[in-house]
Amino acid sequence: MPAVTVRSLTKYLGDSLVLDDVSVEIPSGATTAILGESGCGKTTLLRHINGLLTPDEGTVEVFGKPIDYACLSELRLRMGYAVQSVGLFPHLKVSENLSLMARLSGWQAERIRARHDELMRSMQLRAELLDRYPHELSGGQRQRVGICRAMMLAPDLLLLDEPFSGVDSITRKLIHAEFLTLLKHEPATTLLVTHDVREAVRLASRLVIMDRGRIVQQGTVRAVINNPRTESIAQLFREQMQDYGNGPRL
Amino acid sequence: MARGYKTAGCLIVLTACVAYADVEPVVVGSKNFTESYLLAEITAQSLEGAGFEVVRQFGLAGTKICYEALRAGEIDIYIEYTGTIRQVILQSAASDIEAALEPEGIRMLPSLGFNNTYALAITERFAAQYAIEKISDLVSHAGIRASFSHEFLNRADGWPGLAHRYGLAFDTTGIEHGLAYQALSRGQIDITDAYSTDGELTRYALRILDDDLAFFPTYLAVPLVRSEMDPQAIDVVAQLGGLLTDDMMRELNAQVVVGRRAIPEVARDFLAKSVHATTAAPVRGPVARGWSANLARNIRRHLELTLIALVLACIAGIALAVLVYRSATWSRSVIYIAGLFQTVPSIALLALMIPILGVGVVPAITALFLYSLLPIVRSAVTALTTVDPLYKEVAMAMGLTRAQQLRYVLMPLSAPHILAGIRTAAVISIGTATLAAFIGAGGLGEPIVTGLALNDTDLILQGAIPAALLAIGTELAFSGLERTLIPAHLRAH
Repeated sequence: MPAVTVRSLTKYLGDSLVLDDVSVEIPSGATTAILGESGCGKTTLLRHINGLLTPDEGTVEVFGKPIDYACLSELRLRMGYAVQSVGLFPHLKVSENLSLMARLSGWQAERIRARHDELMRSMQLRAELLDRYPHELSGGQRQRVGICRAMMLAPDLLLLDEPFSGVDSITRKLIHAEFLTLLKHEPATTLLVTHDVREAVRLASRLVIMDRGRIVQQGTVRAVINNPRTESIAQLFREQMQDYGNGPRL
Repeated sequence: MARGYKTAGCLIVLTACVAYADVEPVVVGSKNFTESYLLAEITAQSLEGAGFEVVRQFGLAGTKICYEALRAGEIDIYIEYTGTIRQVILQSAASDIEAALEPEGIRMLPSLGFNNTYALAITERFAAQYAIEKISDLVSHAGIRASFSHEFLNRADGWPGLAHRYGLAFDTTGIEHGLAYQALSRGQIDITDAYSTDGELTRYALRILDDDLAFFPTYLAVPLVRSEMDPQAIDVVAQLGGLLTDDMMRELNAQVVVGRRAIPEVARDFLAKSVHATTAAPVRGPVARGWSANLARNIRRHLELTLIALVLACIAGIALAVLVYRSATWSRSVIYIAGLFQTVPSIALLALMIPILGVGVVPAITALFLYSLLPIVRSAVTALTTVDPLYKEVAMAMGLTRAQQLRYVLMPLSAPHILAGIRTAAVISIGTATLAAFIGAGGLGEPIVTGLALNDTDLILQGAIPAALLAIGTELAFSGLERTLIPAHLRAH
């Protein structure tokens, strides 16, 4: 059973058509990257999956059931969510940002502390950072904490919207590596929205390529790279993969 | 939310009950000028001398407030003037005032004897120089420098009517009444309007000109009492009838404004010399108490008024903001309506409360509550609507319920602004609460109002300085609260 099934999803924001009859399945247990230039509708698609947006037409099924918009909170507790600007709550210390949902879900302090340690270690974060406020962290630290917060409740589905952009390329590579290690220990169905081909290729096993509100190609990374459906997709890979050291991990 | 309203409602009703519970003592009211204080004190002491318990509700701001308070049963008695009853209360030239007041449950008792009407005053020196004794003597003095109070210049029963009746033709200028006597005694002006029993007339050795054509209406001082008041108490007050002549009243006023004697003392001495020689009551009442006891009582009352109003406004204001912040239309409407209350001048808002809530603590708290509401609602709505949408989205996406989003994200992020709004409301309340004395709610406004009425700077400062210190203290307390409650990087600057 796919983790997410989107059928004929159409969405207008204001007057502009942002998603045009989009259908896609996100398989369980794998990382899927939604790839496309900014404005192609990839973030809008992601925001439909946790109910931040409701479809104008079409349906979204998560974990085999259509989304019940009356009790979204329950569904969202099973999804981790991290975005580019991270959105760590500025009035809460790192530890409080991490534990908020766990506390509200009735976790014991002991269990929360253990989970903090585990996640912080995976993302190479020193324990003393737990006592700091978000504005006292570096950009890279903030993004790592954002990933930790999304993973806190060990979600079934992880939604990531450009969570690794906005930091320098060296830090980004480090975070990529840490994230891959984390996923190896705690496999979760992951949906990654990105405009960075190298990031998509590095982290995902499947690609969904979007352009102007439509899906233009989807499949395994290898299949898409070997048989780009359009010239513009082919060019996208040629341009962005040039400087990628040893080449894509195919 | 609904609980907030209930709590607010209960508190208001509770306070009202406390205020209405003590119906037994006779409540004596007064307006806020020397003579009214004096007559009220004389009335109060007479009643006390006859064994009645008296509550003094002095310094009410003007005829309307006094009369409405009497009609509403908030006070049982106050001294009014016949001319004022016709002009301001009945607004007709009705010859039979008693019959007109009867349907309102109000009785007019026999006049105290003196007539405090408009009069024209000149210095004795000027009178002697030009042999002026009566108003018609002025006709031949065209070059006279006349300065009248603005009210006198514009009232039909003031200068326009007077000039017409006597055929007076000299130029006039307007002058603030409080300054007119000084200007007169320094020879800067020659003539001004006065009240015939003004104590200042004695201080500056001024002469009242005889109204030989009987133009000015009579303003006989009469006690107005509630018909249902204890008949024995009514008898006691009725016995004050005819006790005072114009000269005696002027002399008593002068003892206060010129001689700087305390009102209760002057009243006691007067009663001792008149009918109640043996029943003079011990000196008491607000003006007679030691200043430190007064100060403590006034500060306590001031804080009570402000604090109750502020707490109610916080509950109602924040609850309202939470109810409406998600709708732009509702947010705007609520801020607009709360803003309307703010545009009503505070003294008018207090006066408007009287027909509904009477005088005293309840209307004062209600008015302060309405005044505090705007800064709190506005800051709360603004804060809640301007929280970075990123945090709202993340809070939602994490699975927080609506209530949890408010409790754990929106409220904490709005707290600095809401606290700033509460701080503004608190400081405004402390200032505005000084006006509560005008409707008999006490507080630090009481010495200010009394001091203004008696032209007593010391008394004014006894209210003004503590009120200013309270406002500064409140600022400091809120700064401290902000430092304790809100992390440095989130504080509103």
